[in-house]
Amino acid sequence: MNLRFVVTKIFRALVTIMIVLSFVFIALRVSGDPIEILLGDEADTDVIEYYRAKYGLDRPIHEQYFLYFKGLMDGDFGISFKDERDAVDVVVERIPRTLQLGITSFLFGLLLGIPLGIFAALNRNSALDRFTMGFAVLGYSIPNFFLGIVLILIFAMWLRFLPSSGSGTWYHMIMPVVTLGTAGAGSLARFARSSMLEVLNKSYMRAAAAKGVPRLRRINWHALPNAAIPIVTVIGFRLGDLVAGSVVTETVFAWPGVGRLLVTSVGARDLAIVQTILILVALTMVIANLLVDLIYGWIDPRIRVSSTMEKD
Amino acid sequence: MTGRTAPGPEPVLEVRDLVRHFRLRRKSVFGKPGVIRAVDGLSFDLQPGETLGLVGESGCGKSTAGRLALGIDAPTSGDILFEGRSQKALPIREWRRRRCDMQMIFQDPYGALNPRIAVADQIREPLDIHDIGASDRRDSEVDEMLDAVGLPRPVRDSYPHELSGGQQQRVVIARALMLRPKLIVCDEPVSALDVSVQAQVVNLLDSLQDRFGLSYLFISHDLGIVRHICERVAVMYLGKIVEMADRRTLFGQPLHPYTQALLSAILIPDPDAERNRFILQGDPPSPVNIPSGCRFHTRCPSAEATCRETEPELRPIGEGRTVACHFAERWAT
Repeated sequence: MNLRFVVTKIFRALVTIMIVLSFVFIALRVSGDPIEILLGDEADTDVIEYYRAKYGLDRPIHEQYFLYFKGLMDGDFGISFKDERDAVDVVVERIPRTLQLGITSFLFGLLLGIPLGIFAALNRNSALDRFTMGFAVLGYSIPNFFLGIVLILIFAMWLRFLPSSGSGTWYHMIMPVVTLGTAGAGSLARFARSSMLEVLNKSYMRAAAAKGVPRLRRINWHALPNAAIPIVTVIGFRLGDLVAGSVVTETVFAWPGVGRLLVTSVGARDLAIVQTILILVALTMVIANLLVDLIYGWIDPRIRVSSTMEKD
Repeated sequence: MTGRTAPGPEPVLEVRDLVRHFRLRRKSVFGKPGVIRAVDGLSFDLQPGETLGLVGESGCGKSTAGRLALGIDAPTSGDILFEGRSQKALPIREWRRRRCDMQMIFQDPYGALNPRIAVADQIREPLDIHDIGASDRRDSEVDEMLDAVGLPRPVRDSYPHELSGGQQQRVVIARALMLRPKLIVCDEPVSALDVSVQAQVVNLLDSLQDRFGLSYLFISHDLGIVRHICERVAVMYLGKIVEMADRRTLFGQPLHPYTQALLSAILIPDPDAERNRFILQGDPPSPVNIPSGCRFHTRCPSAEATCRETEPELRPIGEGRTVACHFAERWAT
C-alpha cells in the first residue's frame, strides 16, 4: 500500500463528502424554515427575525453555503439550534452508543453468517443447504423496521421477556442486535457460500485432494483463505454501513445513538447536527473502504505485488 | 519400453467396462429424466512406463475417463484396478495412500495452483502432510524438483500469478512429482499454452517419464502432440473406444472411419503436401441420445444397413490393434 494510493483515496473521499454535504445543505434549507419549526406557529415575527439573523439564515443561500464551508475549514461545524451546543459535541456523545450496538450486531452477523455460508457450501444442494440459504434470504429480505416491530410484539408485548426500548442493560441490546445482525448474517452467508463454492471447484482443490491433503486442512488452508477475498468486500460494506444502517433500528427501539439523533434532527430541521452526522456517515464508509483495501493487500498476494510494483 | 505384449509386467492401471452416466434433471414431472452416457463401456490397460493417448472430440468422455481413473469421480459400473488391486472395497486409509501414487496435471495451470500460497510451499506441502523425509531436507528436495522441471530457483518464493503459463505448468508438474507417483493423468496438459511453450512442456514430460518411471494417461485432442509423446493411442467416440493401436500402426493406417477422419484433420506444415481430407459433417450426436447400432453411423461416410442395427464389437485386427467397425478388414487392405 503506497502513499499515493492512500492520498488519492482520501482525496476522492473528500470530494464525495463535499457533494453529499452540498446536496443536503441545499435540500434542508429549501424544504422548510428551521426557525419556524423551532419556535412554533405562535412565535412573534420579530423573534423569528432575530433568530434568523442570529444563525445567519437571513442571508442568501450561496452566502450561507460559503460561510459554512469556511467554518468547516476552521473546525467549526456549527451549533445545534435546539440548545446552542456545538454540533460536534452533540453528535460525538451519541457515538459510543451507536458503536456499541453496531459492532455487536456486526460481530453477531459475522459469527452467524460466515460459518452458515461455509456450512451450506460444504453440503451443497443438500436439504441442509437449502434450509440454510432459505433462512439467509429471509434474513436479509425482511426490512429492519418490520423485523424490529415483530420482535417487540413477540418478546416485549406478548412474552414480556425483553424491554421494548431504551438502553439501560444488556437485555436492551438483544432485540436491536438481532434486528441489525440478521440482515448482515443473511448477506454474508450467501456470499460466503458462493465464494466458497467457487473455490471448492478449482483444480488446485482437486490437486490438494490428489496429494493426500486431509479434508479439514483442505478447507482451512486451501479453500478458506481464497474464499475470504470476496467476503472481505461484503464485510467492508457492512462495516461502512455501521452508522447509516442503524438509523431505522435505533428509531424503532428508541436506542439513544447517532441514528436516532439524525431522525429527530431532520424532523426539527437542526441543520448543523444533520450535516455533522452526514460527515460522520461518509467518514465511516471511507474508513471502512480503506480498511478493506488494506486487508486485501494483506490477504491477496496478487494485489500485494501490484501495489509494490507501482512504487518503481 | 512398451510392455504392451501379453506376459509383460503387471499393468499400472486396468480399466474394465467402465461406465459413468450422469442423470439430467427431469424436464417435467411426467418426463423421464435424461441420462448422459459420458463414459459408456471403456476398457484399456496402461503398462508401467507407458504413455497411452486418449483422443477424441470434445464431449466424448475423455476427461470423465481421466477423473474416473483417478477416483475423483465414482463410476456407475465397471472397475478400475491400480497395480492389480480393485479400487472398490479398498479401505479408505489404503485408498488415500494409493491416491498419492496417482497424480494429475491440469489443462489450466493457473487454476490448478492456489493463488495464495508461494510456489515452494505448494510443492512442499505433500511432503509435510505425509511426513516424508526429514523436515530440514524437504526444502532442498523442493529445489531439486525445481531443477528437474527446469525452473530457476528464485521462483520458489513467487506466487503463481507472477509466473508465465509455461512456468505455472512446470510448477504443477513439480507438485505432481513430489510424491513420486507411478501414474500421472495429463488432462489436456498443454492446450492452454502457447504453441512454442507446448513443445517445451511436452518434451519435459517425456524426459521426466524415464527419470521417474512414470506412466502417463495422456488426454488430448491435439493429434500432433499425441503422435509425438504417446506409444499407444485410444480413439474415443461418444464414451467408447472405437480404435486402439500402437502409435505407428494407428497413424500409419487408421482403420476406423472416425480415426481416418480425425487424422485427416491434422494440419501438415507443408503447402505442397497432398491432402486427402476426409471431413466429418456436423457435430457428434448428444451423449443423451446415442445412436443405435454403431454409434458413429450417423456421420460415417461408409455406413451400411448393419451399422444402424448392430453395434460392432471392439475386436483385434492385426498386430497390436483393436477396432470397433464391422468393415475393419475392408480398410486394412
